[in-house]
Amino acid sequence: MNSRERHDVILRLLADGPFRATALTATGGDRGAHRLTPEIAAVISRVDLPALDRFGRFLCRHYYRERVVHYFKYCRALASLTDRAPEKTLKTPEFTALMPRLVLGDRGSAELALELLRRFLTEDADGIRARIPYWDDLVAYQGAFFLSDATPPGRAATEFPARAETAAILELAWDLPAVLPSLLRPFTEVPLPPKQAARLLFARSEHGEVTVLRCTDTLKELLNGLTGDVPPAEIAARLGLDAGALDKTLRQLETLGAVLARGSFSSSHVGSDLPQTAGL
Amino acid sequence: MPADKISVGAFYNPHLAEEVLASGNLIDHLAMADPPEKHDAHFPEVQKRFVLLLHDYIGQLADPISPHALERARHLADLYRSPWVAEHCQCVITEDGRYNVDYVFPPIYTREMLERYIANARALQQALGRPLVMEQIPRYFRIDLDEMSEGEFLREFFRASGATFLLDVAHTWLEAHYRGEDVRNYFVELPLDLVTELHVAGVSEYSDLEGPWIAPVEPADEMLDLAAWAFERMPRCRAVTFDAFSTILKPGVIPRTLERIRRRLRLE
Repeated sequence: MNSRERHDVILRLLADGPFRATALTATGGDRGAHRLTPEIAAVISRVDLPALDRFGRFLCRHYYRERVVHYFKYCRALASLTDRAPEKTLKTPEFTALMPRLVLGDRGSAELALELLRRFLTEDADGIRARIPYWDDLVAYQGAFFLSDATPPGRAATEFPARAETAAILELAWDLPAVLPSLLRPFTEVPLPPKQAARLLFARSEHGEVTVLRCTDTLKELLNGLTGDVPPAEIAARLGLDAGALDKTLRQLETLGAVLARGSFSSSHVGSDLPQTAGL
Repeated sequence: MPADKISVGAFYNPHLAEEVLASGNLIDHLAMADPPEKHDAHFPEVQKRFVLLLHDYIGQLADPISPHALERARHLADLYRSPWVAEHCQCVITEDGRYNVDYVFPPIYTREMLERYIANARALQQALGRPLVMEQIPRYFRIDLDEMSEGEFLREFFRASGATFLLDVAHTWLEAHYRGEDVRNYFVELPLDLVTELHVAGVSEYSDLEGPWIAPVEPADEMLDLAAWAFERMPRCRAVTFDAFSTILKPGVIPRTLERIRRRLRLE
């Protein structure tokens, strides 16, 4: 093992809760959930493991706090009305108990953290719903953003374009995008979005940028048809689209990450609608 | 960046932009940790009024910087007209990209890691056409895998790469604290003669760590005394920056801290 590989063992110990738990139990005399190779055990023997564990927990809480603050900013802006600042979730005993199971950046871990957030924000929340009737939609919207940030699972290459697993479609009862900016400005009356259904597509790019755009019926149908084993020409024919325009749209969806996705967290923004290249 | 005086500044916190713009001559420069938000209405005026320093957001020097990251850094350095660019002495992502602690964390100090940092820093400076300053990062827990001290690693890195030192006083204090060493003795092991920029920051207690760590808070008087003591030993220092970047930073903290820094370091 060279220096870089030894350093990577330390990084994994810090980022990967279950791996760290294995190291802690293995050095305590028990055999952990995973067998440690002699090389890895040799690295672990050279670090102050209890202190590393404390730092790993600190990093875990910091990692999710950054994302909760960033992605749940609308719930945070309403915290004076709801008394449910979302970051409070991270100080609960439930989150502390969850930490050894979390891997930073992992989608499954993000789902576990999101479940706690959802429960914290929406359970026994009728009083909040009375004042903010779109509260559940708002939590779902930010939750989709939060989840899109996580690193997508590895996926085998397909012969034809496939919908990325991180490309999420969210159906809302309220047209939230219309009201979001005003939630971040001072207001006297809680701003209300139009009470009309909205469908949004969340896509994560190769570089970790998360984009949200409105999703038409045709775009939804297109994405659902991108199974990876159907040629684009066949999809175009099925949807009654021009093949050239569909190709252009697929490339745009690839850039956004709705069709291809890998990378890590960097930033995010709410994007505009997809250019109408294929009448989608 | 004026050559005839020490520049004093802070990090740009967009939620405090109005206060920063109303601060008169208190602030000479702003370090930019994140790119400006598209909807930041204050940024054009900020860009006009202050020297801006690209800080972090480039890539880890343990590995070659990707073309995408280089292009992003080049764009930001041009946008800011940054006199130098800063990166942390850190290694936070595994080589295969699978694990990322998404926080600052220093490398193990070995000859092999040093060679990687030197090669990648040279390439970065060449690609950006701007000098590089590198900020040291403290270690919270003991790792017995080093082949040299932090000071030796840094001095050799700066000598071979042509980069210079961004020294953070709070980081040095924390490193000495967790090593159980006297902080002034630890300071003199670092290449103070190569410091271009000095960071002054505070520390807070964290329950997870059962001790102090980096925090976006005002520095205590003890930290300012330490900064003043170290500053006297930095003949090439050109800028002093209050290192606090967080949405929890309250109005008043930056102006008050910069006044204290100016007074204590005699930069009024």
